[in-house]
Amino acid sequence: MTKEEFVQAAREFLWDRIGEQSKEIEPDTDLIKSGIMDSLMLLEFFFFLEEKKGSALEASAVTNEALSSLENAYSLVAGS
Amino acid sequence: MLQFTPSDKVKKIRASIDHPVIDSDGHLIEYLPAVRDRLRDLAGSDVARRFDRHYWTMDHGYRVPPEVRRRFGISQGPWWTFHAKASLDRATSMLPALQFERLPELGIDFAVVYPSYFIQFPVAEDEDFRRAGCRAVNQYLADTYAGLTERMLPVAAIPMNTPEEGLDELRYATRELGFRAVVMQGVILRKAGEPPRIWVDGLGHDSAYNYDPVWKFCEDNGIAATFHSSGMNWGSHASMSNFMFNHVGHFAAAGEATARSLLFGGVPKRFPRLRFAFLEGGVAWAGALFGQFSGNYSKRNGRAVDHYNPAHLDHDLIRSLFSQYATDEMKKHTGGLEHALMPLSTPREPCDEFAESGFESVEDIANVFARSLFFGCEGDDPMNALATSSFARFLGTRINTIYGSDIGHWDVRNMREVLPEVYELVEHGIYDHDDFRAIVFDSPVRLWTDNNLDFFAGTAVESQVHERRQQLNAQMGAVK
Repeated sequence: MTKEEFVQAAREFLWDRIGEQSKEIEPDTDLIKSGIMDSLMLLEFFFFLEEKKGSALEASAVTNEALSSLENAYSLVAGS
Repeated sequence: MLQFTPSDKVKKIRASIDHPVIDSDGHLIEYLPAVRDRLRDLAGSDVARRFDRHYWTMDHGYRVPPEVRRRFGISQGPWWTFHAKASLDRATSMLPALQFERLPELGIDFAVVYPSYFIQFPVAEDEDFRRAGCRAVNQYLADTYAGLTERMLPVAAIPMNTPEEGLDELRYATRELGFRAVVMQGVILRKAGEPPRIWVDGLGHDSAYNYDPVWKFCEDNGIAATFHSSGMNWGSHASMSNFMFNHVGHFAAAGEATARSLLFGGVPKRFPRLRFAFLEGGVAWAGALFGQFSGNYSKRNGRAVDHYNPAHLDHDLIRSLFSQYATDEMKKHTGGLEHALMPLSTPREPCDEFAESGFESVEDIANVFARSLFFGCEGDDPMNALATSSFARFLGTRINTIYGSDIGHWDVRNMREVLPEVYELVEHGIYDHDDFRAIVFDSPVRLWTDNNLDFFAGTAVESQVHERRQQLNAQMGAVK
């Protein structure tokens, strides 16, 4: 999965949950500071990432920074 | 056709008592598809989807490694909290008509029923979800229990993030839906600072809002303020991996947080006709709260705290005693004595930290506990032994204990055992019959009717409550 494909899929994931607000999300938008990544979203996003990766995430890699934006989250999926 | 006949144990207990048994904390398990439809109709599809997400993540969050949950502050929530082997009891909790039919089998004459899943709603940060969720549950409860109020009354869920939203739902639930009882969110987890720090707002002392309009509404309309808040996911009940770790003592922790806040905030003093109940946490913490609150009051009220005023310190005497008794190590620092006496004993303007509470004496505190506060206990809690008249004499106040069966939740493995379980205290000689009557009848009668004589109107226990109310009034003086 390319970064562009991941960002598109993540936007669809967010659209299902927060609707219109998701249109404002750029790959580098801070999801935590913007309040989008609340505890409920975090759990769901975790499973979304696992689904995209096709295997369990490395727990030590799931940090604040890694979940702070879509482009950072891509690194969890791509393993880079 | 199933027959619901009391067990021999229940029959024997019922034959030995001459009063009804009132359960002030039974439970219903809401039928979620119906609640969801109501939520969608009230707040739209987006909020209904949030409802789906809440319940999905509740059951799947455990799959996120504890290391990650710790990093993001997500603790382990409840799991497998309802019956499976006891399928009849599971169905009973979901079907109010079946509950109605089975109450006599359980030895219970009347039950005040609390919902279960609703607990997600009043704690939600999302205002639409919080308020519409409570309303959806309330509409569901009002309709589901219509026609069953002879033996059961449901409580309305009241969100309390602000006084306005509390009042709004209180008005709707009592005036539009006809609720006589409510359950309020008693612990509001608020965020402050950067990075955000969670602090606990117990609706009284140091609250972010003045909740007096809520208390006044309740007092003026004969509504007891009851609290059944969760103590999990904050404080020390927030393990990332262990529900049982979080569960032990959590209702007591939440009840104590609210009760202490209300007491320090002077709420029971300002609203003397209002009754407060803290459910499912047992009675032990209530005794500890009274003992420590009144103990601290007696030593540190506005007058008594002068005992610790550094201005009274006899420096000459201290120096003299040091010269005689200090160790060699201390004597090496004789010049530092004045400095050593300063920390936490520095001169300052004194203040009365009990002034807001409005209490004027320990006796005053004892009277407020005995008059205004009620504590819910389950039948299997051995600390119910504290709810005796003999312990009240020793403690210095009566801890009003109200029996809550908790039927419907995992704690009750067999509904048919709830009455025998609480009656064990009589069989073991801990309670006399008056103590037993107090927790299953007298205290519930007082909680619900002290400020609303019609609470039990139209119910199966109306005449017995009325008769007992007259006797209690005669014992205690007129209703305050």
